[in-house]
Amino acid sequence: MTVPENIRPFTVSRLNTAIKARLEEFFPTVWVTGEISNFTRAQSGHLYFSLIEIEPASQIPCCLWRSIALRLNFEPRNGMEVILRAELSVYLPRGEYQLIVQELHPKGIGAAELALRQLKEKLLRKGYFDPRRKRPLPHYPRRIALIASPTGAAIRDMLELLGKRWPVAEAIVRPSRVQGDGAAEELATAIRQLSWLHHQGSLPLDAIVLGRGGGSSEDLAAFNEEIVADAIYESSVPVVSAVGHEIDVSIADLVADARALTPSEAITKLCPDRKTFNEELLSFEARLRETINYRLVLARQRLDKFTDRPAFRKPFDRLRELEQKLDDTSLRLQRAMAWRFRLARDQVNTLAQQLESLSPLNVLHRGYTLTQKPGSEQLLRSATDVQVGDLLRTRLASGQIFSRVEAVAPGDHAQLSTSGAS
Amino acid sequence: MPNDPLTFEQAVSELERILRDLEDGNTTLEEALARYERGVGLLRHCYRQLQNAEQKIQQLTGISEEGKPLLRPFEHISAVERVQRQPGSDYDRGRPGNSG
Repeated sequence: MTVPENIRPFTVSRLNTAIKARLEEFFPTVWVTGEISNFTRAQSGHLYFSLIEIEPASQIPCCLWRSIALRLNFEPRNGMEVILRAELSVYLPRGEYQLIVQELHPKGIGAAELALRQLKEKLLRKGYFDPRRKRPLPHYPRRIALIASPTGAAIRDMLELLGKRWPVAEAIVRPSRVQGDGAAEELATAIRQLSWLHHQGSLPLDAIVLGRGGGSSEDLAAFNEEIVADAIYESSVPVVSAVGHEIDVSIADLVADARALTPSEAITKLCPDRKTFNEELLSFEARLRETINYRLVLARQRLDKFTDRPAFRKPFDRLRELEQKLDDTSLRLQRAMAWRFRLARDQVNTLAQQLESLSPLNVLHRGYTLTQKPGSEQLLRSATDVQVGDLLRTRLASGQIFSRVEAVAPGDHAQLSTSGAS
Repeated sequence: MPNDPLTFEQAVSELERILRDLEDGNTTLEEALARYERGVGLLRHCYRQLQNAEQKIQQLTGISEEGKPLLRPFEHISAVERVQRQPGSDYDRGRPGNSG
């Protein structure tokens, strides 16, 4: 066997290059479905795997370049059914054809859905949802931060209810978009900002509420982002997620310390009702009064018991003895005093009688009289003391006589009696 | 937070402690009376705080260079509208004669 003379053989590289050109021309873009196998993520960030079919057994190697891998929102895994869009290509060094993947989609489930599922699994493994790390909410909050759209219904509902239910708490509104491009970044920044201020001590907070009114499942996207989950997880303040969707539980709901179905419910969960608290205080007041009254009654009963015992009765007996003695003494004193009074009175009476017997008035009983000029205390002793016409007053043992002098006869004692004197 | 040295939490937990002590009956009468007085003081404090509470709303606009919060009063647009609208509608609703 000899090589025919007119043959010009391909070099290996030229053949592969020729095949490559033909294949790429014939299969510019293909959509392929299959199962991922032999999945590897290289150091470079490129993804390599085989797309396989089990029955009939067949496979084709796939490459997914780093630039596309970075934009994937889910993690490809072995055994995952996918649909991909690719360009067929030949790897010249090995002469193998392969698919250069442009798009990769999970089969039977939306990519976003799968991404969400996978993020949940990841965060679960990291312990983000661990109930043990959920912090208790304050009983009587004094300052609450509300992250919400500044123009939405959520913020209005929360402020209105807060004002009614618990105006004690100051509200700090931190406006943020809650949906659309960049909403997740804004939310995460808002949480981190508040958390930082609280941690610094320049704005102490009792809780942060993430509020959003109802909406479609897609609108929740921002609350399902990993950066929001990280911000909540790392927050120094307890976070209440009130994203407002009953069917879909967002990742924010799962990471938060508490979850509420609506923004209003978040406020209800977070704050006591001022009326209820007032009643609580009233019951404290009643119990306080009851207990102290009970203590007082108890103390009085104990005292009464003590006073019934002989040891405590004796001092009272002694007291009564003393009282009796005192009464006795004072009675005797009174009697003694009365006797002294009587004695003194008797003495006074005697003296008065003696005095009376010496009184000049007594002489009048024996027939003497006393004569004076009216207006003078001088008793008349001589006829020369008067003149004719003078008025005289004469006192007798009984009564008085007023007379006028008719004549005056000076002379010896008792020789002449004036007509007026008796 | 408002510069109040005693929070409701502290007041309530102290009230609970006082009640427990009083109900245990292990305190002397004098201690019990002192605690009762303290309790009444705490209650008075709480009542006053509750009565004087007035809603305060601020908006966080940013953080200053010194790391302090930048705040300004917050006024919700629809809240303003509501205040202007509501008294009339409430009034109407309250009167049976106006309903139909």
